[in-house]
Amino acid sequence: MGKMMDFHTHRKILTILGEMEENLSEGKKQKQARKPQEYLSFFAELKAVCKEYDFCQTHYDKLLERLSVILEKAVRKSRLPVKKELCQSEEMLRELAAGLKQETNIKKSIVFLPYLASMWDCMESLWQAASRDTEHCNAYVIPIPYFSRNEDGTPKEWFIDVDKFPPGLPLLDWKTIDLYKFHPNIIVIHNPYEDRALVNSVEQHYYPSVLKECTDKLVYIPYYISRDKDLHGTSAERAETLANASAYWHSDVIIMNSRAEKEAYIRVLEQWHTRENLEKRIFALGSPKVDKLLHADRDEKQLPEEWLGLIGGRKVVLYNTSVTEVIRMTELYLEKIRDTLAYFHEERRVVLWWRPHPLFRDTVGTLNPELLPQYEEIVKKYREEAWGIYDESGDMHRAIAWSDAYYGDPSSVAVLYSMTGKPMLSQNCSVRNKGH
Amino acid sequence: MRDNGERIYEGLMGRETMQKLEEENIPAKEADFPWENNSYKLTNLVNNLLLKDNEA
Repeated sequence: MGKMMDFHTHRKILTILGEMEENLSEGKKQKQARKPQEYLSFFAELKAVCKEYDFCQTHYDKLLERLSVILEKAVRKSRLPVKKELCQSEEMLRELAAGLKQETNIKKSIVFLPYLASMWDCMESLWQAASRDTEHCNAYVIPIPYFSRNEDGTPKEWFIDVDKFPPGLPLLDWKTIDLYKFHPNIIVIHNPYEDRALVNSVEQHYYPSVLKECTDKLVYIPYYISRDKDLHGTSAERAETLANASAYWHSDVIIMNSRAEKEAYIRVLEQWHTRENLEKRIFALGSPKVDKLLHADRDEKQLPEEWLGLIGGRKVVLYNTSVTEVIRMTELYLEKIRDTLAYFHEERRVVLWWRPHPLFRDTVGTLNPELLPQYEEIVKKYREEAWGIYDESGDMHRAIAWSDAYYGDPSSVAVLYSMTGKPMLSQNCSVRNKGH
Repeated sequence: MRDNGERIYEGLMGRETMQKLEEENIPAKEADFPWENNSYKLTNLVNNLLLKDNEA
């Protein structure tokens, strides 16, 4: 197979051919008509481009030659092509454009639109596969802006996570890309919401309903996965809550981790869509989050010195406090955090690695603002006393790789953790541990 | 064996059918995630963790 034509080159050629057909059409008012000389220059450029691509030369060489002859004649006579020549031109232009439109030997372009760097793992291994295939694909990563909300839903603060993605990952600036004009073949997203998300929102140009108009295929990969064992419990509840999100309506492809999870979502979504439609769009191909988990490793270079010092050969218990519990958060939950910290403060045989969800503090601030001062006091005291690790990074894979057991809330972290084989315990706010 | 990202990529590029790729996906075995209660709490988790380590 010869070299594949770049997506942008293909798009540009089709645009100019379309413009030519319009401008050279008999009887049509010529809008911003270029002179035949300009089109001749374009053909010279097109012929040069086609020399690079074997399929172009083979299929379109004769067409280009014939069109060039007509235009050269028009240029020599300093006029536009005459009626008979025009008819021939239009037909040839249509044949050329139609052939190029159906051409499959064109490099695809795939654009990834993550907003939270901590959720990049749900796309990463797909991006890696795409970026390795340089012959057939151009892969682009464009971090997109998002904001946290005030209690009344209005924007509170804007963020762009560009500095938090893995070093070396090539990123484009969202301000320089008009996705509607670019129109990549595929767009990959992990944000399912539009204006209904409670805690934060992406900028509205990146809503799924808007992105759908900017691409041939909108692909949604959830940033959470479910345990098959939970599909009739907490995950079923989550499916009910999430399944009406915009991405489930507007995406052409939705990736699930397992067939059981896919079936659970289809059952919920059947309230609004036919099963036939859903089975054409939802596929259990496995989540890239699991790839990241299975490839993760303990690397001392990843840890600050003080953390390595705290661990010092001891076993590590990962304490995960998740966002979903904040929605139900009460004084009881805060008391549970205090009790857990007090237990580990006394239990020195192991070291505690507390990692709240990256949106935990913002979620408390939005949904339970009256509890925020107490929560902040707990965190402040823990950090000042410095007997345990406090991890406010987005890197859950580091926390999973470095810990030996899990304690905390059911969440996407717990789901991933359950695939490591390490022991786990789900925290119960009604149970006290301090002093035992 | 290819990973999930590679599988998704092959499907999006139209090189294999999504249905065939689904058949290839075998999710990892899931560990138990018991709910804490007064008979099994943090002390038990920690003790079992350390016991397992000693046995190893």
